[in-house]
Amino acid sequence: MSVAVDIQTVLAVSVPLAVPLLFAGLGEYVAQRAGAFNLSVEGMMLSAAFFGAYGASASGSPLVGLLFGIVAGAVVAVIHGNLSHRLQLNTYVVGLSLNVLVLGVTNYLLTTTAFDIPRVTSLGIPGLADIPVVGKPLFDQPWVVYVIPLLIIAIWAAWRTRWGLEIRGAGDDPVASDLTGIKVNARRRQALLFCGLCAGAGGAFLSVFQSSSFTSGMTAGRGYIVIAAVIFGGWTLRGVVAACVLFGVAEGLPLALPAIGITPSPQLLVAAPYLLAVISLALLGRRLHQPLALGQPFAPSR
Amino acid sequence: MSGLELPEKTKESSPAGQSSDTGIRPGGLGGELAAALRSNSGPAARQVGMFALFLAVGLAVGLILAWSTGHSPTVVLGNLFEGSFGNAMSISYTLSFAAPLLLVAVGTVICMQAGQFNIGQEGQVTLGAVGAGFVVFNIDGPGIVVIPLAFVAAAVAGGLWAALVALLKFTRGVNIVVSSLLFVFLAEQLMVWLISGSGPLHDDGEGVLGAGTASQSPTVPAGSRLPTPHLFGLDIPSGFVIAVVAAIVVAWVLRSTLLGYRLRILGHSPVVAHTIGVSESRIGSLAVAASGAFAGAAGAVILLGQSFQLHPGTASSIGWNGLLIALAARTKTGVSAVLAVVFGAMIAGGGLLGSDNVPVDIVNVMTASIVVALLCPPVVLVALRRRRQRRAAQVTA
Amino acid sequence: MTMANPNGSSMVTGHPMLRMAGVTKYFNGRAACDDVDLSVAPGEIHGLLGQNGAGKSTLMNILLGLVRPDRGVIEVTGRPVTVRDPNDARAQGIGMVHQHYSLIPTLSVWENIAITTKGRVQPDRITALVNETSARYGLEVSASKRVGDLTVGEQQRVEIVKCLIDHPKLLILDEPTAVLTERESQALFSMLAQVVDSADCSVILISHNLAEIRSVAHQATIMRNGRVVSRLAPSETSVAVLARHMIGHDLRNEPDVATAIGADAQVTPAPVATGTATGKPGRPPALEIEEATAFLAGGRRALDALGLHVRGGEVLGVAGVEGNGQKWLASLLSGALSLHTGRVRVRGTNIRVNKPGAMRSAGVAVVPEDRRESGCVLDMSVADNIAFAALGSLARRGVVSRRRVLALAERLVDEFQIAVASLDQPMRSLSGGNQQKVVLARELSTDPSVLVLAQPTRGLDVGAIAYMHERIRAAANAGVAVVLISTDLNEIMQVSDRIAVMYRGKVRGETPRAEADSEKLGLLMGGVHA
Repeated sequence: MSVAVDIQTVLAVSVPLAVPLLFAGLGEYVAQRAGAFNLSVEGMMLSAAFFGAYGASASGSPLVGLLFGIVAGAVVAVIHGNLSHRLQLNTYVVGLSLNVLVLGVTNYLLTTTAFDIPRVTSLGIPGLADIPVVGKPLFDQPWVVYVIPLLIIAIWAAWRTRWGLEIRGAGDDPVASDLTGIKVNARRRQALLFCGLCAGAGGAFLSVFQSSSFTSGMTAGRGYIVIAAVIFGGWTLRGVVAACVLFGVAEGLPLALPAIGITPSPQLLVAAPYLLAVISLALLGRRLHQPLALGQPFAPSR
Repeated sequence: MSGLELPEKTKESSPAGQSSDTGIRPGGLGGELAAALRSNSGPAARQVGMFALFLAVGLAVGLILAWSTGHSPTVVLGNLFEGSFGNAMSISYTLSFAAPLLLVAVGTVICMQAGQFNIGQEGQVTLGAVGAGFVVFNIDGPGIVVIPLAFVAAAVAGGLWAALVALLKFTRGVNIVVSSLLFVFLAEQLMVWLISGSGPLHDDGEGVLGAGTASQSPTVPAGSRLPTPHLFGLDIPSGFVIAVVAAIVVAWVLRSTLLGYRLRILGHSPVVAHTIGVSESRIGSLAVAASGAFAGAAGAVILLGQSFQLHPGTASSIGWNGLLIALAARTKTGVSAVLAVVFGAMIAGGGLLGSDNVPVDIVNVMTASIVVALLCPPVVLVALRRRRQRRAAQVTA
Repeated sequence: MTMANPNGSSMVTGHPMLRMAGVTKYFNGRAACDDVDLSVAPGEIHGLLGQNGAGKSTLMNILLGLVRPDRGVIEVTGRPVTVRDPNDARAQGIGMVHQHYSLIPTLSVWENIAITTKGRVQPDRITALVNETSARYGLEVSASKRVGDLTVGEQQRVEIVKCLIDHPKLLILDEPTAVLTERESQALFSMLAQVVDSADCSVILISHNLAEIRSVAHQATIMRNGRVVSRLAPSETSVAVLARHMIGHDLRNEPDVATAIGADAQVTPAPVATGTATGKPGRPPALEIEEATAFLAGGRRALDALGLHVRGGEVLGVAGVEGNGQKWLASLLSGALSLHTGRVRVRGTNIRVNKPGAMRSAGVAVVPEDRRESGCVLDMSVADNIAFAALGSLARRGVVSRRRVLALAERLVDEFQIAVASLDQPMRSLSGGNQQKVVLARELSTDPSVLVLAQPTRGLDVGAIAYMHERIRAAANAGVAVVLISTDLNEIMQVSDRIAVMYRGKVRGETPRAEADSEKLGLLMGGVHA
């Protein structure tokens, strides 16, 4: 019984924490498969958190907030995509600069903005929500959470379309892809845009659905955790989902464990995602499905 | 190879007797761009002009944001200037903020010139601050002894931390961008662990953040803080002096020594480097470690000159900004120094913005915009050249 | 180019499958294709023959929409078409098997094929399509395998299946047998015979293997210097005739460099080689390569038990159609390629091949083929580029003496007549000829015992070429063993004492210059023992 309670406690804390990671992680996963090592995911999430909060509080509707967030994430993605995969500006510099820029803009606007975000009620799925232990944490959540399985299925299905194959081609062998007639940079921009939409949903979830407020720099490095999750997940859909969930739990444990009576080293838990990612890179190296042209710009010969 | 090739290759050789600089390079826009990005050619006046122009563009983005939210751009600019260069005191502030930025940028120049894309400066700064902390919190002695020791410890800590990344690259083939990024966050947690709870650098005393703060170190004793000598009517932060000396030395080493030559050749062309006997793993690792050492030294400047205490976020984005400065300066030491002072001025000037209720964060908007804007000149030059050529082609046709 | 189609139907009897007429393309004022006509009948295997730079690449790139022609008409089955890009070419029924495959290694076979086929992406449907096509032509292909795990021959089959699935009207193969074993080649040709059997598909076979062309192709078009020089039925002629057409009759066998080129070079003609340099017995060869075998990533063979030796004072010309391993020979000698088996000896000493700088310290100097990439650093100054090779001796206690760098640069710029405005100007701003002179000056400044030059005059103007040839002869006369790798036979004939021809990673044959003629060289280059 007490084990069950412990699991429920951990899950209750962790699930909401894993949700933004899952949204952004799935987006980053797609972007990286297209070869775009996207560092601006932190900025995408942060701008989405801010404008999501703004939209929700201006309209009184969480849904509008979510849409605002998604658009805000997409705007960052479009800027990044055009600077890096059209004008060929160094993607790392652009990504890091966009993060600084978004932090600056949101903090700046925060000083003149007051939020009044409607509380979001959770939506229990009849039947499932009553399952002991896992029912409540998993199936009694704000409705957005239930979008995640759909998103996973959508990506799974997309990989099996021609678009998905072209995305993977662009990430693995841009030169051969170009010869085959794939518009490599266009595909990369699209993948980045998808990442922006997803990270936008994740960012909006943070402010609108989870905490009903926006605080300065509230994404607090989740964008980088997401990058670690994509790496630790070995660039596979399954792996990335598992890594995001795991990192959500790692984030939740310091909050949940004291309630159970265990005090873990909080620093180790915070460092866990990055540590695991480094270890898997060092040990598994080439066995991971790392896109072969990850982070390499592609300048078509024509 | 025989038979069919991409058109790029069929046009590979530039026509003889004609400067390749004026012809369209075969690699399409990207190839041309890559060339332009690497090129140091072009009249100096035009380059300075471009630099100033795009610096202004970056500033303008921030001013537009201020204007659109009801603040006067002139007031913002005035305050920024007043707070950064308005009087002796503010100049001193500017220089002290510029110091660690410049040190990080100088280190970044080294690894980028050697073609090693280390982006983990933020973590290396953090570890450098920790290394300096170990010395100043544990060794009692006159500043003349303790401060140099602290710098050595900081450089060693930052350098070793960066060397790990090089080790992963050259033994396990791990992408250096990815690993150096991940190491930033490991460094931060390592430091927090050291200064919290039972960590060896933890202190319960009255710190900057107040007594009983969970994660903080002791404060740096007054004797071990960086002095601020009064010269030419200015309080010159000694950190800035160190940074400028470092920049000059590094520029000289890169330009004039055998090691510098080898490093630059490696960065420009690993193939040429190989034929003249430069081992990428050795020289590349050295460059990465050196960049970490300079970032570490920046950590010492922060600890001994500004924060006087380790706390979460000690590096305060100095590493990120220093990295961006070096890249926006296209890995030139001199330009990095100018940009570091500009960034320092923005931070110092930002302090005065509050008096007019302009949020200080506008400074971040400006610096980030400046970085992106400064990446643009090659793109613009190439676009202009293309248009000129199209015009010329139309005339002749 | 596109006009209203008066015929309407796509398949009108009497029309050739492909007709290219008057196709012309200039690059930088030089004609890569000059008024080229090419006609391929339905059901025909059409050989396209020519040396490097003959214009076949440009012609095919035009056909695939990779290059826009300046003039000319393309007709497929009598219908004028405009090809904008490879997708467009595919839609017009033109498929090409590239020499460097356009397959994505991390995707499976069926996924690679799915990208270019029409209709929904369903594994079962596409696998069935693949299996059906591969069964029809006897091409063993496993649809579910990852392309990266396949051998080069299997990858080629995938590439062919990928083209055939669209039922192309025209299938182009670029040097398809270069990577295949004898047996695989035979299988390929019987497959091709099957493809053209029903006459609704034609094949263009680009190859320099003369025997292959003779036995497989129904018709052949031979190009030289951007023009079509002959059209013939290869089976009715001999490989010797093919070789002569390909090389041309104007092959010069005169050693006198300056007059042969007709250039007004500002150099005094160096003493002409006596042709007896080979016959200096007693001394060990300056450079010996034995049984050198090397592989590239992906298992392709770069060098195949290659052996050659050069004595001091001798110029060995290494001829061959590009892509037969010359590039890797140069790589090997610049220390950028590691050997699987075999040895490299310089003046009798074994060299650790891939160790940084080992070749240079052994006295091997290389003027590489891609001088812009691996010969010099474009963004460093002329003086620095000249100093690279001797950096160690120009430095004292780790500091490079700028005075001595400039002194060396000044001396060499003067000696080699390099046109520079300033020693500090970036290498990038120099003309190709002057860049090459800088590289040559640097390499010779170290007093090498072996000098390797790969395509040293490619893209240079006449004067610069004459100058390079002068220098090469002068170096040999000074006792340096010279390896001149070139696809330009005239150059080889003018400068070399002895000629080795490379074919598929090995030396196919050697001949003294005096005994070389276009037929003999052409045959060797075409893989036929002369």
